[in-house]
Amino acid sequence: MNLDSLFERSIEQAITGVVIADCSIEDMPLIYVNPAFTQITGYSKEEIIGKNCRFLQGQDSDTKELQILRDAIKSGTDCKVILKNYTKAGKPFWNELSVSPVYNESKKLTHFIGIQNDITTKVESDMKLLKAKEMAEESTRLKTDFLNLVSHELRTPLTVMLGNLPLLTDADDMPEAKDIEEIAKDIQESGEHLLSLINELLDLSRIEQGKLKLIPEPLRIDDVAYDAINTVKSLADKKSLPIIEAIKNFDFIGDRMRVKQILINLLSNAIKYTVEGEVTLATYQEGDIGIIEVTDTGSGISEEFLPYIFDSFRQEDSSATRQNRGSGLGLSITKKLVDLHSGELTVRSEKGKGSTFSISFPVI
Amino acid sequence: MSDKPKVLIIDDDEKILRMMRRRLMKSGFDVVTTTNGYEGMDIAIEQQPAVIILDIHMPIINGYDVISQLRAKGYKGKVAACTASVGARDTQKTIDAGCDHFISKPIDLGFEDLIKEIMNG
Repeated sequence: MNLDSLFERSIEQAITGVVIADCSIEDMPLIYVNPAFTQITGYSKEEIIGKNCRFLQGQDSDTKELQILRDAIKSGTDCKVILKNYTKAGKPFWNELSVSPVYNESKKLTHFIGIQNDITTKVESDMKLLKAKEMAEESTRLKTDFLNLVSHELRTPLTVMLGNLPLLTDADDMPEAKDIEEIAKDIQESGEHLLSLINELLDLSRIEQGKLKLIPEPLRIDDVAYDAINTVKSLADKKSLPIIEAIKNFDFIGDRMRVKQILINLLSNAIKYTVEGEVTLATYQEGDIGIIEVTDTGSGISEEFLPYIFDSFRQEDSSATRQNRGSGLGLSITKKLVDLHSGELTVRSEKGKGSTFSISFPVI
Repeated sequence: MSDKPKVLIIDDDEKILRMMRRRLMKSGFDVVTTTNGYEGMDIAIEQQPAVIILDIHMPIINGYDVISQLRAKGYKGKVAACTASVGARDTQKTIDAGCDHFISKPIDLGFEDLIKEIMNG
């Protein structure tokens, strides 16, 4: 068997695509493609012989890689690029293309040979791995931020509690009675704040482990709504914010304590983020659905953060200048509690104008 | 005018301000407090306290910006960052921003002595 015929048979039977383009003709048309190339691209020989191989490119082919290829062709050198190409059917595939110049006996560039491998499976697998790695890194970062935040939030009330103790334990120089009263109040409020933070963490942990069990009973929304308003009223009064009550009753099945917790969380948030205006609690029935809406005229939520508003470990502003304190767990817990009630919690918001959190429960 | 050494405390938490004010006054300091970093900068320039105790996480303007702006204005007094963010990066960031000392919250029993050391150091 002569060598030429061996070469030809080998290339014809190879599983990698092989093409030869003619440099002596304008636009460098393909003069040879092997069967593997036609199999990878879906084009028949007849369709592509005589054409420049740019028909494989699409709108989102990597321009940097294409430029490397063009430069190599222009300078008559070799190159290896990875291109996003398209089959005849329009299906994208990743083409690992090695291009080498072919010179004749007079050292004149006559042809280019291109050897292509379809590495789509490998590229997609690499992309999946990269995405998984990025997600793992993001998760680690969010958890670290969260732990730092929790540490900060625990230390702040502890500072008030522990810092005041030496003032109350110096028997020779006790503060005046009104000061003692104020110190005791500060310690009490800090302790309550600490407890609520610990409760939030425990709630989240129980919910995420599926260990939080509801105690369902028939409820009137007006009972729970007025109860929740009474609990947060002092917070609103401190900021001179009116709470508008637009309460129409509907009956539903729920865990009284947890539904109240949902309303308190939403109302407290609304009060926390509102400086001027009002907070409104509206409840009403539409068909088979009971609706609860908490609306504020506060700072609102940016469009970018809105998709993440119910995530556990995210805060819109975790910088040193953030306006409001808190673990950032409240809304996440609220959403999960609503889900446990087979309800739905949604939010509409506009930065600077305020937000409306809306819950829908199936009525009895 | 008081001959007691003056301490300015800038912290957005009023409970912490009350506690620190009481403890430092009991130890013989003249104490000025504010919850607003901008007001704190004005007080620092006007009253030249012996020590500033500066919280870091504050709304409106944070402690890093307060100390940076104070130093940019030529303020040369002692400034101790006092924060509940206690990671190594937080410590370094406050020193890089221009603070002389770092006090972690909760403050301990030796808080008053530490302020005296900072003042005399």
